[in-house]
Amino acid sequence: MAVFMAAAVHATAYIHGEARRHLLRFWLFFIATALSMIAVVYSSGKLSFLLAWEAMGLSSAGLVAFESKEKSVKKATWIYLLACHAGACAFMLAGVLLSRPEAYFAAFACAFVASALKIGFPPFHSWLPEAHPASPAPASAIMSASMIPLGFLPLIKYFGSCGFSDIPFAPWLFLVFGAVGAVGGILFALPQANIKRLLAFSSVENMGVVAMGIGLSALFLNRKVGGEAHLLCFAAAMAHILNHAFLKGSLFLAAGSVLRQTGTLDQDRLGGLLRRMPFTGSIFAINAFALSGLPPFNAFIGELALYIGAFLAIKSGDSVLVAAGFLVALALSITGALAVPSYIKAIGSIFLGEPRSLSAQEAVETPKRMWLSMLFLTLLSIAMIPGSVIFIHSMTGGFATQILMTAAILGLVFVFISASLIFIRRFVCKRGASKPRMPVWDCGYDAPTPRMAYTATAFTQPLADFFIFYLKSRRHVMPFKLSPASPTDAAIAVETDDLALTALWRPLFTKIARLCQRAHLLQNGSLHLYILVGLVALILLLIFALVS
Amino acid sequence: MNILSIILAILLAPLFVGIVNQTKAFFASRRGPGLFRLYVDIAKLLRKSCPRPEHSTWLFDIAQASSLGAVVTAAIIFPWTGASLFASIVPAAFFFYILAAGRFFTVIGALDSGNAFEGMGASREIQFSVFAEPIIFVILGFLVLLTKDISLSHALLGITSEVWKANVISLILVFLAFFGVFLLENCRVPFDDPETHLELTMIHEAMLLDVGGSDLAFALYAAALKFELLGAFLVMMFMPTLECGLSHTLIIFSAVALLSVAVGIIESIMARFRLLKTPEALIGLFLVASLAVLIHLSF
Amino acid sequence: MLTLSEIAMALFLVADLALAGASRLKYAISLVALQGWLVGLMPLLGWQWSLEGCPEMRIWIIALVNSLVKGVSLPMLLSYAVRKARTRREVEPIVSFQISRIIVFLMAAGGFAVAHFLDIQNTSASSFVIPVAFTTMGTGCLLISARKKAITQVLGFLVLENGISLFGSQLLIEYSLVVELGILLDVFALVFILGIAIFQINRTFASTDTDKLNHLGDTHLMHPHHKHDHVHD
Repeated sequence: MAVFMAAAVHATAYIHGEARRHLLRFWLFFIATALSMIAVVYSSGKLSFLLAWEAMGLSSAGLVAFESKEKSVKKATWIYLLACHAGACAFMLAGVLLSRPEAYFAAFACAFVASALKIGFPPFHSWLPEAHPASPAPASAIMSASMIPLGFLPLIKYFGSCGFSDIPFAPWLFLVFGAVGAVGGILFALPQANIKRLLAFSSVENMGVVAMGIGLSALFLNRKVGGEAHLLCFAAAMAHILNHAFLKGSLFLAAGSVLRQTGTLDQDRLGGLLRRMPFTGSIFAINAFALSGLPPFNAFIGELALYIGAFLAIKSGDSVLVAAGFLVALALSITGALAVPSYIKAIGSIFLGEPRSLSAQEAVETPKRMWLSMLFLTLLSIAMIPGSVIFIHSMTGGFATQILMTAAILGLVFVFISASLIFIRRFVCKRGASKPRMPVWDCGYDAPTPRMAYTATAFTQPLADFFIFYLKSRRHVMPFKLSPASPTDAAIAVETDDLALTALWRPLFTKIARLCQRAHLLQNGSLHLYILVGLVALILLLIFALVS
Repeated sequence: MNILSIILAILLAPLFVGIVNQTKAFFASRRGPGLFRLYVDIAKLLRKSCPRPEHSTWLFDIAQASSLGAVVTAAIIFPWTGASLFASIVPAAFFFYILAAGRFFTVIGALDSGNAFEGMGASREIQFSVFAEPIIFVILGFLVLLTKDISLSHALLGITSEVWKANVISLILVFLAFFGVFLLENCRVPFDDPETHLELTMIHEAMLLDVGGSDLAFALYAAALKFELLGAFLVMMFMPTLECGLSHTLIIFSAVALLSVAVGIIESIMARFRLLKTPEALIGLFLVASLAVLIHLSF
Repeated sequence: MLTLSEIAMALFLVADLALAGASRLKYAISLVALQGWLVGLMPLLGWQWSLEGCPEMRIWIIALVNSLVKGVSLPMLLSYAVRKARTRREVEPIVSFQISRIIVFLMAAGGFAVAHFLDIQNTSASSFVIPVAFTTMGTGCLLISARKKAITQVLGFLVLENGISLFGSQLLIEYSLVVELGILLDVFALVFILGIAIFQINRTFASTDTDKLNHLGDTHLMHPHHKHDHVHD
């Protein structure tokens, strides 16, 4: 809810200029999305849930389509609508199947697919990196922060009551999809040049972390060991949803502010904005640091709880749990290790160094209410440092609270020591207060320009190159041509498309389209053919009835 | 007792770097800079002013102090005397995350300078850490498996001589893997060369090109303390448990001193890996660590 | 219960992993030599000195001859062939080093899983033998099939043989001097012949890349325009 309020305030300033004419439409969809999300949470029956779910999808699609004049936005809207409807269809199927006890597995599978489409488990995440860059920032903020995690709700609500214990593979479904989502998501976030695409992929990652928590908790229940460890894992997952909501919400809003002030989201064309937009930049840096899952911030507390869960699983000695524990610990460590460069890259290339384009050079700070709304979310995140501990404590009843509390306090110690070191440098060291500005070390080169600074693409290049077999990045190299008449500049652009989209969905849908095209031949207006088709269908049905 | 050992650890840190350098000097038949060179350097740097790059922001100003703060926090957690106020509570994962937070600040500081060399160093440092982290957490999982406890002090003290007897092979493999991580995290040969003077081949040093004065003192000291910390982690992990107390601390320090001599010898006889080979070597270490877990699980 | 031979086998495994990722021929040859030493000394390492007293002459001879041949003379021969053939000193992989290493790791994992279920506790051998021997044989096969140079194929054959004799040295406790030495002689002759063959092939065609040697096969006779390709290489 808090995210909504902040997003609304931010939106008042975000929509400006040309777009003001459609203000009414924006607010209509915005409020509709908010209301339908509340409805999803509080709906009691299956039917009302389905209706609310569909309304949520449709109204948010309206938000995505807000700037619908551009072609890319139209395409994104289509993909998003498709994902929403496929999800709703799967839910309907699940609802029907749920009424028949023997089809419980099938019902679970359908519901899982439906939720996966909303949450963004790979390969169902393809709408995220399309829809987020297309939609206005406040819309992305609420979609990423609040709507995506709602995908877990139906699974927990309708299947969680029996703790997934009837379905032996369900915990593994969560664990494997979670691990793949977390590692794969952050891996794809890493080389993205568009900051909103990066954030969208990072949502995939965070939802993967949440799914691992839920899966591990279900597995603890399933194996009936570990005492209250299952509560800890579940609480960790829920705390992470909350923490992610605040952090990601303000990161998306900050990305919106950057877009508003500079007109671009391309990290390679930004830079040096922290000096020009100090409040937005500082808030972005703090949030990105926190979302990397590093102490002392709130996301770290949630992840630490999940680590404790994983280590408890390894400790339990139960061979299945040991395997799951290693999987979670490994996936979390890789995710954490990759999240750091992703966010450092975002901070570094947008806000630090020197501006790489004219628009970045001329950027100024946003209106006060834009960064105030983000500040509000950031303060909530900081409040969530003890908040997460209390939250997990209340859900688990004191299990592992001591560890988390110590971790939070040690985080504070870290801040205190750093602050006192700065203090020492400033006031105790003899000349610590004097900080003359010097030109950077340029190895003897005489005329450094901002273009020489490391770009976002360059920063992640070694890692992106190493994982090229998975990322399938495409390189567009324009070599330097030394012709006396017109020497051209050398240029390189690296593009990383969503693998699921290019390798699975696009070929799949093309094939389906081709098949439909063939089927279209039947509909050529000839009555004889129609009768023939009808007869064949009848006979086939007859045979089917006879056989079964 | 506890606080005394922490203070001792914090004071002794630059000494071990001196030992490494002195060993290297011995092998090169040089006189060497002396064991206490780093103390002198730090004292000298603390008296100087801190120059800043032209376009840096407040992130550059806090970067070195924060990264030192993280390492000092880790030193406070560490059970120098065998027992500690915090180490028996927090899991070992916390220890490595706080070190990762320190690295975050170093890298951010490097990017804030806007210097291309520093960006390059930052990019490389971060790349290697991505490969090091999974190794660390496989090893931590292995320690949990062995000691049946998740806290930092148990991970470090739980390996008794009985455990050693039962799992020699896995422990040797894990030792190999962690030794590799130790060298990498401290930017030593064969992963990084602290003595290189060419910007293009630097990794950690490149990130400090524009840092000077007391900030540089902080950075140098942080590196020394991290060396001591991870070295102590390594030796404590594999040393069979002794009685707690100050004598334990002293044994750790002498073991770390021996380790420093070993590092010095390695740096004297080994060339640095090609930059592109480092990820491969790290994946090899990761496989070795996983092999240890597998062997432990199968028997 | 941990014995010296188990530590030796752990070293064997690490050497397998290193071999799969070895990019320089010299390094690979020294790894194979290490394996040769280990497998040669295995009967002595596995000997329970306290129970069985000093081993008899036969076993000393086998250990000595085995380790000398596999640890010293064959590697020397191979390094000689590399030097003489004046090929590039690098192993040229068909399957990349990373993937090879991961394959070896998976083979080890599979081997341990199999050993876990096989349960060979009733035999006197260590439960390490099966996975380590299988992994070593697998590494040998990998080197033979996934590397380009002819010399790496000889290396692969040696590794394969090391795996087999590791199996033999642990599972068949009854050593027969004649059989052991006979096998050794076979291997020695084979490596010797291959070494010389590589040298000769290299002198004739200036390349030992097996891709190019493929052109020598009968199938290419059907394409007359390809016939003289290799001569100009």
